[in-house]
Amino acid sequence: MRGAASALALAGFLAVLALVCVAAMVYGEWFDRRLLSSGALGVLLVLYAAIVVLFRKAGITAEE
Amino acid sequence: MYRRLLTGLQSATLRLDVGIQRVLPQDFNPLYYTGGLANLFLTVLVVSGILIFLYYEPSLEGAYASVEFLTRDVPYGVVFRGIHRYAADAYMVAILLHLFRNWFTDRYREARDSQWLSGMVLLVFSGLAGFTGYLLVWDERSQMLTSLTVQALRSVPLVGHWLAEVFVGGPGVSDTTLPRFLFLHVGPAMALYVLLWWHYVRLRHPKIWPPAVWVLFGLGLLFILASVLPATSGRPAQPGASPEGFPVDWFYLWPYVLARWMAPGWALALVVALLAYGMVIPYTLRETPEERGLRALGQAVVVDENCTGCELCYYDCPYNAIYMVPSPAPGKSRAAANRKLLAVVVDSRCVECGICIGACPFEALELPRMLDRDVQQRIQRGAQAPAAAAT
Amino acid sequence: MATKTETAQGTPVRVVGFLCDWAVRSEGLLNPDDTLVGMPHVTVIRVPCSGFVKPGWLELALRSGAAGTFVCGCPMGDCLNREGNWIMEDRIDQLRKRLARQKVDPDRIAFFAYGLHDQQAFLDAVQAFVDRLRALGGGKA
Ligand code: HEM
Ligand code: SF4
Ligand code: SF4
Repeated sequence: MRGAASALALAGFLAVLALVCVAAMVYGEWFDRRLLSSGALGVLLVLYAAIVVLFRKAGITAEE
Repeated sequence: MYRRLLTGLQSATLRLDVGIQRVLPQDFNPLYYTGGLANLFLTVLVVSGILIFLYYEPSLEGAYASVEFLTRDVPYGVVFRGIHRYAADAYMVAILLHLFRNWFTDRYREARDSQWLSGMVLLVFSGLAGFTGYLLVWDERSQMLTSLTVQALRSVPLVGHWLAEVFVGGPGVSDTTLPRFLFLHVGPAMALYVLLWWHYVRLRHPKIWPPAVWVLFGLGLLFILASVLPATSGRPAQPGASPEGFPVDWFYLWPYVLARWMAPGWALALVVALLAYGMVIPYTLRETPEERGLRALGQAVVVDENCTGCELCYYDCPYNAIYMVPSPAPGKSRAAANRKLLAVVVDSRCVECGICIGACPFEALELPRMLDRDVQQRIQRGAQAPAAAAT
Repeated sequence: MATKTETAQGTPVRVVGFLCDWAVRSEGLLNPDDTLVGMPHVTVIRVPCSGFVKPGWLELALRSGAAGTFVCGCPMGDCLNREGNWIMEDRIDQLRKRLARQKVDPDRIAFFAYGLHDQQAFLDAVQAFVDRLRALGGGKA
């Protein structure tokens, strides 16, 4: 049960993240800020990597 | 001397791991996945390359303009171009790390030489695809690289002029030049996949992807680099112009920097010599079996009488060194009497690790210099030893 | 280095371990009779790869009177032979399950993963293992 809930939460989070990315890209193209929005995307991805490490260090995710 | 150096480098390489694992969980250590990282960046290169290819026009008049169009007018074209460029650099970093790590941790000789050789050929083709990429833009840098390369090739004895003509597609730069460069860029890149088959053929499930953290981090880094340092062209190439210098991509264009101090032909000779040395590394300074000690216990041997054809060894051998063949005759032991298959060890692939011995439940495999029988004796002695007084 | 290697009843706790040649540096680690320095009850058999060890050998060690047995491979991910330590870890898991069904305490078998520079960590882990065995009582024999 808890597994399903947290998986759903994660899926929701990822979906929102994907939407944010799409929005950022449309924004960048529209206002001629391509480099800004793609840079932000990059930062997001790197942060996401950092989150994966932090989760592991905090013991939230385990070694598979 | 050289050997001591290698031992020192091995110790340092493993000490680096200790340091990394103080910061990161063990299975996140990027140095355990250098091959996977190279493959990740190669995949990015192929995907972004296909997108760029859709817009590229291989002609003297059109090439520069088509790249400019991609950079300015295509949605996120500049980002794709940047990602393609920085993925190429990241790819080279990854393969060099991979090369040195495999070298320093002794994973390159004896039965592993085939992976090393295919790796060196991968390196040659990667370098080729990398530098020809800079020719395609047809800006001043492309022009300089072309003329330096032609000079270098011309100075090759006997076949030099012919090589130079093959390179630019005629006696001089002409309309055939850029289509040829395009092929010299895409051709070697595609050949990499054939070579990777050779690289992997002796590895059982090679780890071709790094863990998710590194995929995320790697992609993020590429996006950031592509935005902070957007990839641009120099001034367009002018027939007859002789530009002073060009921005250098140190991972692919360093031989051209050498050309500042030596004739281009010598720079080429130096690159060829380095790569040739790389190819013989596994065969220099071979160790004697005594020096290799426990790592030279002889290649695994199947005991025909006992093998039941259960395939367990076949599934565990990390180097695909065991083949299951139709059994020519039944085995002797009771379990082996009705076998359909027989295990066969391919000597040239076996690294003498003994993993198959641990897999075999039927005492049908042995490492010649560490027999089951002897190990059993040592176990019994250890388990029953009278309390030894000595310390 | 004096260590306690006896159970409360005074029976010595004997251990037979397998040590991968590529893992912990073995110089200065072993006495001439292949016992561990400071732990004369712990016999170490050096092997080319942790994956070389047959689960049957671990069983044999227990049946022959050892209180416990262990295998030490390289840090996970750094096996010289790519997968030996993962494979061995799996085999030990399965052996533990099988032994549990035969009423042998699975804790008598341990798997370690230490690299060239981890001598001390390895020795500490073996000592901790011996301490646990001491609590479990001496060998079955
Ligand atoms: C295109 C670039 C390359 C890619 C994508 C690549 C990828 C890989 C992968 C995925 C593995 C398997 C690792 C494992 O699962 O244990 C591997 C193994 C290996 N690679 Fe590469 N590689 C590349 C280039 C090179 C180069 C340039 C060299 C060195 C000259 C090299 C030498 C080796 C060796 C010796 C092994 C065997 C390691 C072992 O036996 O444990 N590779 N490579
Ligand atoms: S010893 Fe066995 S497992 Fe190891 S490479 Fe040779 S055949 Fe494969
Ligand atoms: S594991 Fe042993 S019995 Fe099974 S196929 Fe291999 S050699 Fe034969």
